[in-house]
This record gives sequence, structure tokens and C-alpha cells, in this order.
Amino acid sequence: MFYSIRHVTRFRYSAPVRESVMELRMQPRSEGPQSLRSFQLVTQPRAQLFAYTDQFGNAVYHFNAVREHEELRIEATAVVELGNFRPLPEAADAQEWSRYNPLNLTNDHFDFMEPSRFARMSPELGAYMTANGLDEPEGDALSALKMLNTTIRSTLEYEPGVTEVHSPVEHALGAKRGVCQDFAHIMIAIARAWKIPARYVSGYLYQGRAHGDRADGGATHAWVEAWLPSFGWVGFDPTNGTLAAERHIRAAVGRDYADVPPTRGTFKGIAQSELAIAVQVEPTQAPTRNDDFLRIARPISSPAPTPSMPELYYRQQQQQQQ
Amino acid sequence: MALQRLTLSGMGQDIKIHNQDFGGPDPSIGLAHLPRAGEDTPYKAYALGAAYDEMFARDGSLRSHYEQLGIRLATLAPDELLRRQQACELSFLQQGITFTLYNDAQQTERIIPTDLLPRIITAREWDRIERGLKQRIVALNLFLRDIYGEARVLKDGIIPRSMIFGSRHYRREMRGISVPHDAYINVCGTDLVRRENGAFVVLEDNLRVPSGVSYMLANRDVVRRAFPAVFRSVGVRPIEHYPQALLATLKSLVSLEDVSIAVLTPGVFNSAYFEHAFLARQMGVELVEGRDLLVNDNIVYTRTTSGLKRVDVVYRRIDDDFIDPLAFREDSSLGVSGLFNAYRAGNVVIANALGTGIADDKAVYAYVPQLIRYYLSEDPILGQVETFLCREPKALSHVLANLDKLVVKAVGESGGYGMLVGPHATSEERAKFAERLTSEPDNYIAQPTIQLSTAPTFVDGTVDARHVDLRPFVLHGSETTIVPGALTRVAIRKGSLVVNSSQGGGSKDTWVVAR
Amino acid sequence: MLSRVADSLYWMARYTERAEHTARLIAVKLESMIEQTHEDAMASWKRVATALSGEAFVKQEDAFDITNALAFERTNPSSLVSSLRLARENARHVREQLSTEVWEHLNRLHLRLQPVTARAIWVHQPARLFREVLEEFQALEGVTVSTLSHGEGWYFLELGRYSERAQLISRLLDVHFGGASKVQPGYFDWIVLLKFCTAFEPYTKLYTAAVHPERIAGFLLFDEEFPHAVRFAVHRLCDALTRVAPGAPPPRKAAVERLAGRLRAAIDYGQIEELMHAGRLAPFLEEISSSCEQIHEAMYAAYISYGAEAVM
Repeated sequence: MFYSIRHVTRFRYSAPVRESVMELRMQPRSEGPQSLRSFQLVTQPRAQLFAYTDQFGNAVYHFNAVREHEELRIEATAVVELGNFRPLPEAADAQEWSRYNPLNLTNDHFDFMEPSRFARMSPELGAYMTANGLDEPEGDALSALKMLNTTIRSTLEYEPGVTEVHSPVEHALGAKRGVCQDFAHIMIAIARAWKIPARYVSGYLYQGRAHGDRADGGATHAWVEAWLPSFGWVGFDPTNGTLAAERHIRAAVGRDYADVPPTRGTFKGIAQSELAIAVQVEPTQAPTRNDDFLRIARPISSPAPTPSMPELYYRQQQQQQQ
Repeated sequence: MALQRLTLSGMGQDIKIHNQDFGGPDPSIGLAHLPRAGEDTPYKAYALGAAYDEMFARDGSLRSHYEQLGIRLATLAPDELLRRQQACELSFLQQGITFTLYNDAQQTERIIPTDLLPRIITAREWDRIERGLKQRIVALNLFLRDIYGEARVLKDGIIPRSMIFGSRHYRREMRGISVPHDAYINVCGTDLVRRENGAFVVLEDNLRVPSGVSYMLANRDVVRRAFPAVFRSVGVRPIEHYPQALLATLKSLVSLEDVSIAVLTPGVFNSAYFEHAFLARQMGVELVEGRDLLVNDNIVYTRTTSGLKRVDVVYRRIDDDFIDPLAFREDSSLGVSGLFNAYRAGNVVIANALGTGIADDKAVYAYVPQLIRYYLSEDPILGQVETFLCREPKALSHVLANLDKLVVKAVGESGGYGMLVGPHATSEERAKFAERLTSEPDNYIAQPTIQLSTAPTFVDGTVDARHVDLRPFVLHGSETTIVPGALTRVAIRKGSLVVNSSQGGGSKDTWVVAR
Repeated sequence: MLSRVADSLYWMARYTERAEHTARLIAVKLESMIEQTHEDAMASWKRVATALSGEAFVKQEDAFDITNALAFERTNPSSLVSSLRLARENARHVREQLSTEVWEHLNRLHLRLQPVTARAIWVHQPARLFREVLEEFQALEGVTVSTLSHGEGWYFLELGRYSERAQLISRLLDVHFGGASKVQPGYFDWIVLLKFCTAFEPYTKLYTAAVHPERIAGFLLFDEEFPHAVRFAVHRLCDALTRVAPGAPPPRKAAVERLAGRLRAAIDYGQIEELMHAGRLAPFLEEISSSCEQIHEAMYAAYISYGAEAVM
């Protein structure tokens, strides 16, 4: 199956800004059934692009735009081939739990078992676990994860605008609603509490609501991969209560959202910035549409302006010299 | 021992001091015997205790390398020492060598008290220290290359993986990045203490943003002028070339003819700003703040009135967290966006490298002797203080049972904060600390209270013993250089073991004898 | 040199010049007040307040309040204490570039004025404080000239000082000649104007004690040799511009120098009789001020806040 993905990101600033520096994590990964066929990035203003591979194996592009600009636009186009997924059994065997041992768990798993910035335990999360019978995993590892996946799906409503990009999971838990990012963080935190390595996947989902998905197709998507010794990294989509399979295109993996924001940047200037995103995923036979379907996601608060003298004083002071 | 009379050239304010030195009587005249602690002026009140004293042996007799100084002090007029101490302080004030103290609500600029009595180390003692420090920095750099590479040391089970990966100073971003000469640590200030039995041991390494070298140099400048004759007759090794040695070390990190270097400072409000400016000036390189730098197309530049100038090496005095808002803390206004990516691409060198903090982690400290054996197949030359890692249950129960005898430190904090000095704390303080220990044991280590050695210090008009430590500075680039001197820090309060300047300690000039 | 450092030096000099000018105007006014009628004195005070952009901070029309507003009012960004504070702040950031003497002078002056209130000095010869302050400024100027190397940094100081001076004197002239003032300056006011610019003696040497407003305007505007004349300041400003940013590419320097050259030509070829008889003195002064501002903007864009686009 071939998919073409078009991901447009547009920042608009209320006043001209300069010296924008930005990192992008949008290139789909080539791993397992997924292989990247082509990838292209175009920026406006035009900029020299640089790339590196981060510690999680994600392709990261970066560029800077020095001159004054009022808008920054990034367009990524990719063609990805998704091969057949090896079907998973209904459940793992009873010995699967015992395979989580120092022999099988390597350095690479370590990061995904520790609490991270957004995916960590808290009293609210503990209460949610207790209320939903999630304090201990039930049955074998695979079944337990599947149940966790569907429990999140059924106990939390999908609603954008309640939480924000930097919200801790407590916001979603308190409101009992959130978006894919929140659900992924919750599942990861609980899986880690069960001592299962779990990581955050940022990427794209083909089709969206038409397919019975709760989330729209027109945005990036977030889901979870949990590691099972007999099966490797298995994808779960707690937003939709399904396994992540042929409709999920993986762009970046990390401990949580903080490791893999699709865009991350700084700029100089005193301005509010407004972010608009459009994502379009199609099987490649379909014609590509133009971008008058951009919709405003949500305004982002501007970065801190140049600090006032007392604040600068405080910040510089706080640099401990040993 | 007669003093030589030298002709005086115009040396400005030095003349007054020199006059006294050369106009006075032959110092050995009038002394029946070498002065003894507790008996002769000005050492009548000099208290010898359990600690090793630098100047006097246990029986009160003068150690041979302190003889010249000991005699000189005994033959000075009573007010003379006070006058010289005051001249010393005035000189510091006039030069603006000030340090802003963290806990000082008023944030006034203060001078770190410099005690004018030098601390003297023999050539043989120094030789061992030097060899030990060289060995140590080589091992630590190999350790860093390993944990940011293959991590064999973890695979071989030498250090628990969670201690490394769980430390907030371990920077995953550094994995796979190659560093010139594999020299991650370019400047290290290692704190040594001398134990009751006279042996120097390592107390802690400081290899993120070590400071204090400017005081080492300023102290030498001032104390040498306070005791010029003794200085000459003792035969002290020079240290003034430190800035040149630092410059050479930084240059060695880039294989270019013309290397452009900048010292990156947090700014004028930082407590060590004076040192940043001093070193930049002495090396003849630019002093910059984050806002002076710009990264464009992965290359680092400084903004000058004549245009952008490329930077090859950044000697940074800003912590990892704040150095690049794109790579690390996004709320940092002190750093430069994109600096780390330029570093990753090899377009700029950062000294010290990012992520060195894991090597001066207080818990990793306990493993350093094993690391030396593991990487160098050698026995460590310098010993350490025995350390209990509270993350180990047996160690934790020992620590809790003996809080009144131990010094407990939070892992990963420097400057003497987050610390409990058991014997000096109230039972309430100990109880509160015990709570912290039980709730997050991984975060603490404990060491027995050591009697730091004492050295003669001018206090209350007389000479008395005060606890001191020793911080030599190790430079490492294409080779290792250690300038023969150190910052000796002294606890001004009688009996106090806390020597950190940020908590009211003082410092001394350190004399390493040439022969 | 670092753009940031150049920026701090430039502003340090501008604020110092502003502070000194403020102190002098107040000192002269306080000393001359007794020789005028109350109405004339108040009119003169109001001119001073306008010249120093401080009218908004004057609550009552009396000498005490005006002195307080112009000298000690912290909310007035151009008051004497505010200007000194900002001068010192900028100096502090670039202390390494300054000599100990310069820093200590400025710091001492700032600290000395910090606790002073108008009330405290009013009873007993208030002018004396300002005269002492002026002496300190002169000492500061002395150490600035003699203890700093006259390199690029020093020329940024010159640039700041003379830019500020040109604008301050122009404004002062505008207030006296511009007709904005309701009460026309009288004979005594012209003498006071000369004293505001330390110009009384140089003027009388040139023109005798006969006071002619036109000649005064001409002197303060076009004299080439007197340090507080606008023309002198413009010459120094232009000269300083040629000495800063030595390594900057010629096209960038050209933009700034073109503006400076035009200003210099305007001031070199201006003639007071022509201007006054045609009633064009006020627009001419306005042109000087705005040219100075444009030079400031251009200088900034070329050497200080240029952002990399200028170099790419």
C-alpha cells in the first residue's frame, strides 16, 4: 500500500520576527513494514536545510531564517510504502511476563521504562488506574495492553481544545476528555508502571472520522508502542482503541511528546504567533488537493520577550559556577 | 639567613610594603629557636587538633618547608601583618575582584576574603598530586566517550545503568557525537583534601563550569608582593601562565592556523562574571553573552560592528540546560538557538563538552577508582573519601543509623547546598534530612566527616589554624596541562569545614615548592 | 567590537550628555531666577521644562515643582536621576571596556544623587548641588578623554555624546525661537540661553555684550569652534562615524555616511540671516533633529541591530 502525505505548517506572527530557528520531525521512518519512498521539504522563506539523526533514530531537519518575516511556512511531502503486518495472536503466552528480564531488556529499553516529562505517575493518574481496574495488569502482557488501550478509549472522550500542547495528563484526566497526545501519555505512563517499555509515536493516520476514527484525518496523530519480548514493539492507538497497523504512518518515536514535536523552534521579536496545520494522507492514486483547507489549530502564546532587568539579573545569577 | 637588599625601582604602591621588608632587621637575629605552635608569637594561640596541620607537626615544631615563612611572621612587627592584610584587601577591591553571594539579600558586591598567609606544598607532594590528576582526567574522558558511545562500562556491569541513564546530567543528545581528541573535559577543578594521616585524597571533581582560577592568580599576585623575600627564598613555581595554557588547550581542539575563540558568559550579574572577563582579557579573546552570538546555516558567529565573525571554539561558562533554547530549556534567554546543532555538525567546538556533568555526579564519584582500573588497568594514584550510596539499601540503613557522624550530599548539586553536616546539625535538622533520605534515597550519598587539614590563617590579629582544601586546575586538550598551583579555600569560621566562597569561605595563595 | 558593547557605550554617552545638560539648565535657572519677575521666571522655567521634554511631569507651576520633576522624578525617563541611572546601567554592562576611573566617577555620581530630594536641598542654595554635579561631569569628561584608549569604543562614546548634544541644543533653540512659547523671551532670557550652553563668555568675546537674538541663534547653531554649538557637534559626530566599524563592508558604511554628509552640508552652508528673515529657523531646527534621528537609525541598522541579513 502506498500513501502520499502532505503536511503543511504555517506560523503567522502579529509583528515581524527575525532569526527563526526551527527543527522538524516529519520524515516518516523506514522500519519494519514501513519504508519511506520519497521525502521533500520546502520552506518559506527559503532556507538551507540541515539534517541529523537523533538518539531515537528519528530524522531531524533544521533550518534558520535570519531576515525579518511575518510568516513561516513548511511543507513536507512524503511517499511511504506500508507492507503487510504480521498478524498478532490474540494473547501472549503465560511466560511472556517472565521475559521482561535483564537478559532481554537492553540499554535501549531503559529510556522507555523511566518516567518522562509528560508520561509519569501522579496521584490523579493513580486514581484513574484504580477506578478502572488498571492498578495491576490483567492476564498476559499483550492482553493487558489491549485492555488498557480499549479502556482509555472508552473512559475518555475525544475533544480538542480542552487540553493544550504542554498540558500534563492531569488536565485530560480531570476533564475526562482530551486528544490523542493525552491518551498516548496516559497509556505510556501506565504501561511503564507495569514495567513494560513504552514509547510515544508521532505520525499520520489515514482517513480519520470516515473510518470510524475519533480524530480527524487532517492533523498529525499520536499513539503508543509497547515492547513485548516475543513480538517487539507493538503499536496501540488508544484514541481509537485499535492496534496501530496499516493506516498508521510512523514519523518519529520518543519517550513522549517532548522528544518528538513535529516542529520546534525559537525566534526573536515581540509577537504573538498563530499556528495553522494541514495534513493530507491519501493512497497515491488519489490526486493531491491544494491547501485552501488550512484550518487554524490554536493560537500559541508568544515566547517570553527579552527579560526585564530584574529578571535578567535573576537568570544570570542562577547560573551556578562550581 | 640574611635578607638581600635590592634596589627599588618605581613600583607604585608596592614601595611601601617593600620598604618594610628590606629595611627591617635580619630576621634570624632575635630568635632563640624556630617558633613553635602554642608557644611563640604570633602562634601562641595556634590550636593544633586532630586534623593534619600544614605548618606545624603534631609536636608543635615547624615543618621544614614552612620555616622561612614561620620565621618571617615571627619577626614582623605586631601591626605589620594586619597592615599587609588590609593592603591585600584594598588591592582586591580596587581591581574590582568581587563576587556576588547567592544568599545575600542585598546583592552587594563583596570581595572573597583572601588570607595573605600562603599555603605551601612540597615538590614531592605536588608530584604525586599532578600524576594522580592526570591519570584521573584521562580515565574520566574515556568514561565519557564510553557512555556516550558503546557504553561497555554498563554492559560489563561496572556501574549500574540506572545511575547513568537516570541522571539529569546525562545528555542523550551527546550519543554518537565525536569530540576533538575525545577530550570532553577541557577544564577541571578537582577538590582535594588532606586527611588526618597527611595523604591527599580527591573530594570531588568539578568539570562542568569550574571556577576559581582567577582567584588563584589574583591571590598569587597580591601575596607575592606581601612576602617578596620569603617567596623568593622558598622558590615557588610560577603559575601566571595559566591563561596562556588555557588558550593553548582551547586552540588544540581545532586544527586550524587561526582559531577564533569566545568566552561565553551568562552576563554581568553572574557571581563569577569577573573571572569570565578576566580570562577573556588575559587570553586576548572576546567575551560574549548568548545574545552576541548567532547561528546561521549551522555556523556560529559573533555580532560585531564590522559584521558577523565566525567562532570556532566556545569556552562556555553556562550550564548545559541553558546553553541552547532549541536543544534544551526553551525558556533560557542566556543561550544561543542552534548552537548544539552546529556543535553536532562539527562546525564549532564547545569546551567543556556538553554532558560532562555525569562524570562529576556525586554517585559516580564512588566508582571513579574502579573506572581508573577499568579503562587504564592501573591503580588509582589518588585515593578518595569513602562514600555510601544511599541507593543501596545496606548503605542507606548505615547512613540513617549514623547521621550524626556523616556528611550527606544531594547527588548532582554543587556549591555546598542540599547538604547535611551531621555532627554540626541539630537533631531536628537531622530528622528532616532523614525523611528526605528515605523518600528519595537514589538522590543522596554520604561520607564520613573528614578533618580537613588546617593551615595558618590570619584571624583576629593573630595566626591560627583554619581548615583548608585544595583545588588545582587541570587542562586537557590534545594533551594534559596542570599549572603548579591551586586555589586553597579556607573556612574562615573556626572549626567550620565549609570552604565554599558562596557560603562565606575565603581563599589563599598556594605555593608549590620547586625543589 | 561586539555590537552589544558598542550599543551600551553609545547609550552611556547619550544619557551622560543628557544628564549634564539637564543639570546645567536647572543650575542656571536657579541662579538667575532671582533677577527676574515672577512671570518672566515662570515663562523661562516652562521653556526649560519643554526643552527637557519634561512638561508632562510638572504638576504645579513653581520653581520647586519643576526642579523636582526635571531633576529627581524617577518616573520621568529623562530626569537627571533617570538619565544618570541609565548611563550607569549601560556602563556597568561594559565595565571591562571602561577604565576604573571612568566607572568609579560615574558610579559615584549616580550613588550620590540617588538619595537626594528636592525638599532636602531647597532651603539652602539649591543651585549649589547642581553646580557640584556639573563639576563631577567635567571631571568625568576629563577621565573619559584621558584614561580610555581612543579606539572604536571611544568613538562610539563620541558618537553618542555629540548626537545627543546636537539634538538637545537644537531643541533648546527651537523652544526659544520657535514661537511655541506664549511669552516671548526678553533680554535677560537671551543671556540665560547663552549660559545654558556655557556660551556667555565665548559669545561676548566674539560679539561684545550686546545681546542680539539673531546673533545668538547664529552662534549656537553655526559656530565651528564652540563645543556647544550644533555645528561643532555635527562635525564631531561625522568624524566619529568615520572611525567606528572599521571592518564593515563599504556599502554598509556608505548608507550612514551619506546621511551624515547631508546633515553636515546643511549645517555648513546654513546662514542664520537667511533662515530668520525667511522665518525658516524652526523648520531648519526640525530638520537637524530629524536628520540626527535618521543617522541614529541608520547607524543602528548598519552596525548594531543589523541581523545577519545585512551580511548575507
